[in-house]
Amino acid sequence: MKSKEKKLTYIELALSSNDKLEAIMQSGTMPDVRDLCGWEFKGYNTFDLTGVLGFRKFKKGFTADSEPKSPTERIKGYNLKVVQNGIIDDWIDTGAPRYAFYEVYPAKDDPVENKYPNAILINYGASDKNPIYDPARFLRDYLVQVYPDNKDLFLGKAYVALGKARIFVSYFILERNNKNS
Amino acid sequence: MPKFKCLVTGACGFIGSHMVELLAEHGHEVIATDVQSTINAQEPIKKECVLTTQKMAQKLIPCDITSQKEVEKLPLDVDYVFHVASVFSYSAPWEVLYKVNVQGTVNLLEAIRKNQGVKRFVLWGAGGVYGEPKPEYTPFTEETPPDPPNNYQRAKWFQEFTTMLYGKKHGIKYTILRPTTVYGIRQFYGGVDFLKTGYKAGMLGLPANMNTHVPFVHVRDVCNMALYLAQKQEAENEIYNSNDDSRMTMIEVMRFIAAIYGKPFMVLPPVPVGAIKDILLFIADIDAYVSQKVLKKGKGLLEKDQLGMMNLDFLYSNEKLKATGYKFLYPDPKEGLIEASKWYKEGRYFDM
Repeated sequence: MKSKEKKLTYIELALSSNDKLEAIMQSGTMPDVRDLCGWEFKGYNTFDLTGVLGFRKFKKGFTADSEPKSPTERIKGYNLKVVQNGIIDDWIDTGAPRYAFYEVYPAKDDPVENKYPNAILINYGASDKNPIYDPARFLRDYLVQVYPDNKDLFLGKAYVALGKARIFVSYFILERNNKNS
Repeated sequence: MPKFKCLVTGACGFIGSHMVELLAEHGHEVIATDVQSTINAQEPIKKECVLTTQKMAQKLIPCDITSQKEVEKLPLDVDYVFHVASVFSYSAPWEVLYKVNVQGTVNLLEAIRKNQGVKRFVLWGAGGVYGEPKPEYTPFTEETPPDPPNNYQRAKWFQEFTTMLYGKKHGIKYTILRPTTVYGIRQFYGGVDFLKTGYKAGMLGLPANMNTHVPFVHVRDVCNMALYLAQKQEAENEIYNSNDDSRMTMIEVMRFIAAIYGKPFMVLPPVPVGAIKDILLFIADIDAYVSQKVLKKGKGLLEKDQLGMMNLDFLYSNEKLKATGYKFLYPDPKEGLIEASKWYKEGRYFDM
């Protein structure tokens, strides 16, 4: 991003056009997994249909068996369901168990899922915690840090993997919310 | 900064209460006035306006500006008069609009003429006086010839015209503001309908071809620019469009409000807007007839004059205002809309 451009807030990003978000996806920097690990982030899908289907708001958590030593070390994570209230309201856990688990590593290290080499890949197909019949296994997300000097704000882009096809679903915004529960 | 003595009319309404608050915050002496029925208002939001004015003004004087006798009793040994008082309704009869908005202004100007000490008379006009958008006048500038499309805007234009006449004939120095869609806390009619719809609706949606621009200005900005321009020599006997820099479209506005309240939002397939508008205008006619003649309720649910503005692309220039050096407090309406939506939600005003 050009340094003189006004920095967008979480809400502004959540309401930005796909063109603007795509530009950020391409110019964003690779997140350091050490900044993600141990935290839950408040998530917001930009695709309007996710509001109708009831998963506009969500939480993503990042974990590791031991604290990562390098910025690109493989870590893992999970999703949490939250109350579908307003974007200005708190992200409130519904109490439902963690679901849609994934593994996290640099996209450039993946032979197939490398559309954004500047991103880390959130690969749901790589996690053996998802049941074999779980449709979450088809999800592939790319995640970039929006501004190099802000380690709390991230932009993601979600795809569904159907065979060789990758179908774009939605952009999503993540912001640091709380330590892993 | 010098301290002034100011008179604010319509001081217990939405904009008036903000004007009083802003002046008081700047340390100015405020004489507030409004009609007794408004001062006595019991509806929760209206009551908030009255309470704010009572708290912030040095004096609150009941006065019906349609009565010359009452207006003459107002203390006009003030530096500035901020004339906010007005009937703001798209369904009020012409007689009422004329009596309050035009005759009331004449009464006030007459009293000011007799006093001669007022440095500036600041009038709240209306951005709607330009009428329907026309390609040759896009965006609307202050040079665009007024073409008021309904009784309310007509009355506001007469009000401006009267002020200009008094300026020319009697040397009263004036500044006229033409605010567009004003929004902010304590609003009970007009722009607040966007938030109310978002709060009440289970789901929001708009056809893809109903994506016209919505001009906005925050109430604090309208009041702040009134105070700012009142002190500016270059704003003497001038008119200013009062709208912020945003160019949000209807779909952007509704998507934003849906996000604020956590409501699903969908862009729907295009619809024949012209035909739907005609049908709604026809229903509004029937609604008005039933409400007034059969139910004797006054206004109906649909306001024909407001519906008439549906799907029109309003774009306003604020270059003249910005050339004075004015800096917006809320250049982007999102911050102000979030602030307002929190206020309405916390006060549960839409649940009443």
